[in-house]
Amino acid sequence: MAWLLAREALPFTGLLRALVIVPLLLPPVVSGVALLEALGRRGLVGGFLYDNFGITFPFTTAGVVIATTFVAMPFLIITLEGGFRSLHQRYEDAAATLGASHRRIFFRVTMPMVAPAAVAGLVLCWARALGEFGATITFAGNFPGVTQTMPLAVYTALESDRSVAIALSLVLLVVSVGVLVALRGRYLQSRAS
Amino acid sequence: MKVIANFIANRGDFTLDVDITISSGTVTAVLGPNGSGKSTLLRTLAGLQQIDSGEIRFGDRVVNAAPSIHVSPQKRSVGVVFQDYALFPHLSVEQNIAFGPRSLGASKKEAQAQSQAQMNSLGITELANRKPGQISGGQGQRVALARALATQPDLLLLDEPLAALDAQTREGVRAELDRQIKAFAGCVVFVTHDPLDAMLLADRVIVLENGVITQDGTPGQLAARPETSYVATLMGVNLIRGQAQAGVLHVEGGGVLHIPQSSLEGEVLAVLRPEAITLHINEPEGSARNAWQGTVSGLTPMHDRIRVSVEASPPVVATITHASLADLKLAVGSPIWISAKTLTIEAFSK
Repeated sequence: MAWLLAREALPFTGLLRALVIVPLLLPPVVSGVALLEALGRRGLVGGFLYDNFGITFPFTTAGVVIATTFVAMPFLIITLEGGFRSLHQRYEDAAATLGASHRRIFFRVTMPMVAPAAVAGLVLCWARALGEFGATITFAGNFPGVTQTMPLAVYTALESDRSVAIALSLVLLVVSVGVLVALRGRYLQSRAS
Repeated sequence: MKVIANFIANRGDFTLDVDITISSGTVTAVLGPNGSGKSTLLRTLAGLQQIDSGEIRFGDRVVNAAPSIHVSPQKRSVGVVFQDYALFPHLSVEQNIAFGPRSLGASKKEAQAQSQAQMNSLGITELANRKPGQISGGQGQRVALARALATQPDLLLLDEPLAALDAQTREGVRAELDRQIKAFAGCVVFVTHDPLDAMLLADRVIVLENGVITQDGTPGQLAARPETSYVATLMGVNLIRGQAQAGVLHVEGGGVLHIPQSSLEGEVLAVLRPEAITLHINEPEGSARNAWQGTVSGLTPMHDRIRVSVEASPPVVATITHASLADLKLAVGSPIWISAKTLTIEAFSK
């Protein structure tokens, strides 16, 4: 997806990119509502899936995965697109003149060269997913052991036991700082090299 | 093998229109200013760009025939040395060179052996385990050449092979490159904007300007008989165009020159070397039959001489020593007389 965007291989690339970025800008609660409308039991796609296969997403663990993916995936795609864009076409050209198939070019040249961007994108995406609150609670609810994520647990604990909330918050804080440390080369240092 | 390329390729509003035949065992330089279509020519030969009409043949094999046939770069048997080399930064030198054979189906062991053989012949075995980021520009050039040759291509293409190097390493690398491409059995085509590279490395120079071939000949022919003002400027000579009649050249844009080739008639090009021109403050007397007046329009110091551009009919560039400059007290705007002995002019019909 990111490669297609970066190489502008499809028509309407601009529109496609806008669609990818929308969840990034949408208030997460609105994303949750949108997902509910689309995938809910009476939603556009969800209704069809429920009627024919008995599959439901809202208020299930799978629902949590969908909600967090929907909200966090743009981070991965945008970072990766940047990686593909900064990769000059001539490396792929060089590989082609050396006889490499498109598949081999992608796996042996393109992917290894964008690996740093891919890792950064994955970590950002994962960190965003970890902290996801609005879309999750709207689409998947807050059932302990089924759809309760850590931020939801913090929110719940805040009303009953403050110290548990603080402990959980600390864990999330450490994870966030960990992410920042892991990506320091990318975001904290100057781009001199 | 012969490479026959007769095609038109459009890129935006730029059109490249060429018709060339290149034989194996020769080194051909494509010389032209920036934006002349040199790189486009190279990319079409490599199969990295489509053509819009015409065809390209490698021997009996049609690799391009617009609009239906386009053999992919993978299947053309071309080796390309890219400008800036485009070595894969995540692979070692050895893996870079083995990449081609591997892609064409060689086993890991065979590819490694071919990589070793290439490194041996280019004297870069000690670089085998280094990454492209850890080698110098000159070494990178050799690695890029080794990588291109490792697939045993029929046609070797080099895009500005020496442009990425500084002046000091350039000479050594040029000599090495000369040895390597002379030893290569197939066709060699390289693109350059540097006349020195073209003169020293090539058997044949094709001049490309605005997507069209304007001159095609040996380096010696280019130097002796430049046919466009671009080539003349590169060679550092004055090119004067006009109509000849009984030893007199009526210059396009005004002026008359006596030329020694009295049998020439019709459209003629005359080469006048800057060092054959004499500058005078007053109207010259003497044996020089060509004398005309003008105004100094530019002074460019070179290391041992000064190039003086004179606005006149015809306009010329002359070279004089620093001492003469002091004697003549020249400045931009000074009125000046120009003289040139007839015998120093070399005219030829186009």
